[in-house]
Amino acid sequence: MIKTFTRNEMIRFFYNEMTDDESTEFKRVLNENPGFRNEYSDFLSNLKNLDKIMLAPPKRVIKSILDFSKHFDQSKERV
Amino acid sequence: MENNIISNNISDVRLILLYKHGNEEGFSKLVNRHKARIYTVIYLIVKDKFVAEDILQEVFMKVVTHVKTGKYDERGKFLPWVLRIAHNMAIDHFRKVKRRPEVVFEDGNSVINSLNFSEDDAETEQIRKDINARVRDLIKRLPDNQRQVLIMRHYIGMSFQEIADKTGVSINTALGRMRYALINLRKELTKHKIAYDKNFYPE
Repeated sequence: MIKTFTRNEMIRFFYNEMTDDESTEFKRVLNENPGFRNEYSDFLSNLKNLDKIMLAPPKRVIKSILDFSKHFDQSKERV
Repeated sequence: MENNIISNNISDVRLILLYKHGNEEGFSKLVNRHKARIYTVIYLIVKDKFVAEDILQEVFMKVVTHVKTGKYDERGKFLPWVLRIAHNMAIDHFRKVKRRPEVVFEDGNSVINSLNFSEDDAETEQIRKDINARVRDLIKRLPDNQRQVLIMRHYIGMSFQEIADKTGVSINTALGRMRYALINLRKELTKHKIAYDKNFYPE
């Protein structure tokens, strides 16, 4: 029987939450089982979507944060 | 102390150190390096651009106050620390809003399309914006417990054990919620025929 892994285990592998032994076994199966490799690749492409949606806040917000820091009055905070 | 020219490769630890010694450029680098991830986490929780902007400012005000008054604990990592502050503040806001009667904004939908992106370009950028807005919208519409785990694990970097502890469920439940979040996301992307063109997103 060809060894494979569940979606939960794929998730744990992706996020580096497997033990060293589990991780080694996962990589071995990935190398030896093309079907599983395709499945994992499909899983990865879905996860990659999550990194493509980052938003940048407006410049005025960043300016306001940096201004707050520049004009921060330490003495007022030490009560 | 280093002045205005700070290398892009400098570590967060070093930047914090510079900032503690009064170098505002160090703080500016930190803010610009991590602003998108922090803002995205907040936005995905509160689902409102303007509220997310306010919370982002509050988060960094807290950072400034901690560092400048010597309360910042240098043993931890900067980004996970800030992300947790952001997460907690966004959840607090989310809870407050949920307790109030629901208010529907007339321009609710336009918010998604009017967001700013890290990079600006012409036509391809517009296509990318449209697709990304759609994915973001799909994440926002995930069931609360699935969206929560997805944000905590993927964007904040908490382990499943930490998520389980924080949300009062078992690791397997947290993992299951993540799995369902990804399945739902995939299902919706397929249903709406949303696909990332490799011309825009080379592997």
